[in-house]
Amino acid sequence: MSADATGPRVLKGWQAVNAALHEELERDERVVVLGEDVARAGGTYGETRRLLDRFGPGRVRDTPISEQAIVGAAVGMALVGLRPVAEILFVDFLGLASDQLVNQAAKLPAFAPGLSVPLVVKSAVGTELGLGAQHSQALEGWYAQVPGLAVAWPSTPRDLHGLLKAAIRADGPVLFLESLALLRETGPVGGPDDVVELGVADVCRPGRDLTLVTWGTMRGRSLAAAGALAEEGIEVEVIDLRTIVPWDREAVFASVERTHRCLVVTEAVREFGPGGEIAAEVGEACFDALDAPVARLGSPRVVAPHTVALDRLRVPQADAIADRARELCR
Amino acid sequence: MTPAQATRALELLLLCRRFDERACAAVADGKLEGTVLHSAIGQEAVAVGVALHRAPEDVLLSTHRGVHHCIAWGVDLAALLAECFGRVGGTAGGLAGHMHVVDPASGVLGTNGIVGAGLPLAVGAAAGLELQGSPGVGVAFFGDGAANTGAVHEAMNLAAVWRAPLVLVCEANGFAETTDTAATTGGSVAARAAGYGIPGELVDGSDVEAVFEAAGAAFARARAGEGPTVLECRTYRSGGHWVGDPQHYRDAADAARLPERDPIPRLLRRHAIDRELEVRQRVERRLNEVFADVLARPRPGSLDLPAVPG
Repeated sequence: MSADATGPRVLKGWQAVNAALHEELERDERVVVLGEDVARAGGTYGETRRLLDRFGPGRVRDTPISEQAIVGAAVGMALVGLRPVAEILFVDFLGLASDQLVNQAAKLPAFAPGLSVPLVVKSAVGTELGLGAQHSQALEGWYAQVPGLAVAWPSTPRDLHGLLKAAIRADGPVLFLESLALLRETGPVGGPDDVVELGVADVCRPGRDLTLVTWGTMRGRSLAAAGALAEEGIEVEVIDLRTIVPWDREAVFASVERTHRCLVVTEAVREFGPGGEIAAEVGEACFDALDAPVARLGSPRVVAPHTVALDRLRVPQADAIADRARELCR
Repeated sequence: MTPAQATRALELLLLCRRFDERACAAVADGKLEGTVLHSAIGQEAVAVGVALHRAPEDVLLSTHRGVHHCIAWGVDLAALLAECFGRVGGTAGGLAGHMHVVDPASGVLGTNGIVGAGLPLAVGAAAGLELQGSPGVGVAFFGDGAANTGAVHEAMNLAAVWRAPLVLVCEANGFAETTDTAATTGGSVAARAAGYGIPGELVDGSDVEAVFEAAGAAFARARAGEGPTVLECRTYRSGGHWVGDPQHYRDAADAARLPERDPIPRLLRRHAIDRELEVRQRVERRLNEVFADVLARPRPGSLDLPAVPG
């Protein structure tokens, strides 16, 4: 799966995750992987392939379909010095284990000075794949509200690889989200020592007219919208936050100071969503620089339908993103 | 139980009981400002019978009613009391309270405000110790109320399939918060273990020696790599769900049964404790010092919480 020794690796998203796990398990014997289907089956999406053969059943553990026990066991492992990566197949299922993540993992460090709870909960977002209402939600905003949790949602093979490594090396709990569709996309991936730091945004397209802040599944279509707008003479700067908590205020504010406009694009439901928080912060910090209200684009407050075509009506698409950006630049 | 173990059992029972009684008195005296406390008077034999087997590497997950577990496990008494009463020098600087006592140095990985939530942590901790080659085992206390949570069932099953070195102790005090266990629990907790293919045993939780014997076998199984054991220790909660609970739900006769269920005279009837008076005096002296010191301490004035990522 690796490219030739002289060039950069070009991998699919799932392979990038697989490479990161292999490298981190190799690098640090405290790293363990647990979850449904991760060991013998090699992961529902292939991300844990060959880990069991390489690292054995002590460090690569299948679990029952017991989300509370999976995340709770990961917390217990972290408390005795391990660095677990717990797989919860879809973030929709994390509700079953929210107590363990929210009330245990996130809070324990506050109960003992110097105690760290290093763990990663890795979970997929299944938008636009025909999986239905309980496998299609962008729930990063729920967890972003919890003090003590970091939330990352990379969207390229390079960032899947580099950010997962950073999450595993972090000293606190990290919710690591993956867009399921993006696991099948191909792209360059860094080497074993290339770590993408948590909290650092990727300015993935420069522009002078509007700052578009986004993450996760929305990155690709935001870039497509920016490409279309460039043909009309509107230059959109696209910033992929990559990490929602902590988010890269500095990069966003600096950009808005130059562009004077800001649009936040999320897959999450717009009302009471994470985009509102980013927009409010930009509004407060950059008020004097703004030439237009800070705008949000997100999903409407509806239950996700089950077919791909219908789900595309729910989640922001490139043309809707371009329309909103265009309005703001008028 | 050897004479030395019986003496140690008495000392720990008295430390738990007298700490608890003094804490309840301090609450009545207005010393517990702006927070709550749970008392375990009557239940001490479960904590002590288990803790007598504790080796330095063993770790404990406890409950909302877990101060006596912490005492038996060896948490510094002053740090524990300071945490309960929100004073400086507590295990979390007095900021977290008795439901959030975490003291890794003594192997206490947490009391817990969420009923049943400690068991999944205990499975992971036990498996994690084993993976790292530690001789330590995990111990988790839970109540008969917690026995009906999904977390407890998920944890029992995961512990069974992983053969985790774990001792699961149901401290069955007859209540799920303020509701009689008979109204909330089908079958017995010990019998549920069989459903997961692991041993379960019903134990007289007011008899410290019976708990000690059953726990000894469970620790031995865990240390020998034979997996988890469930002990259902039937005990007696003398007080209410919380200190100050008016217990409208409870029949007066039931609330007055401590003399017949009390583990301390029961131990003394069976074992003549050499230098019993000396043990009692040592406990009182230690608690005099701790209570005088801690209750005179200031309360933390700022949210000087440890920095956490995110």
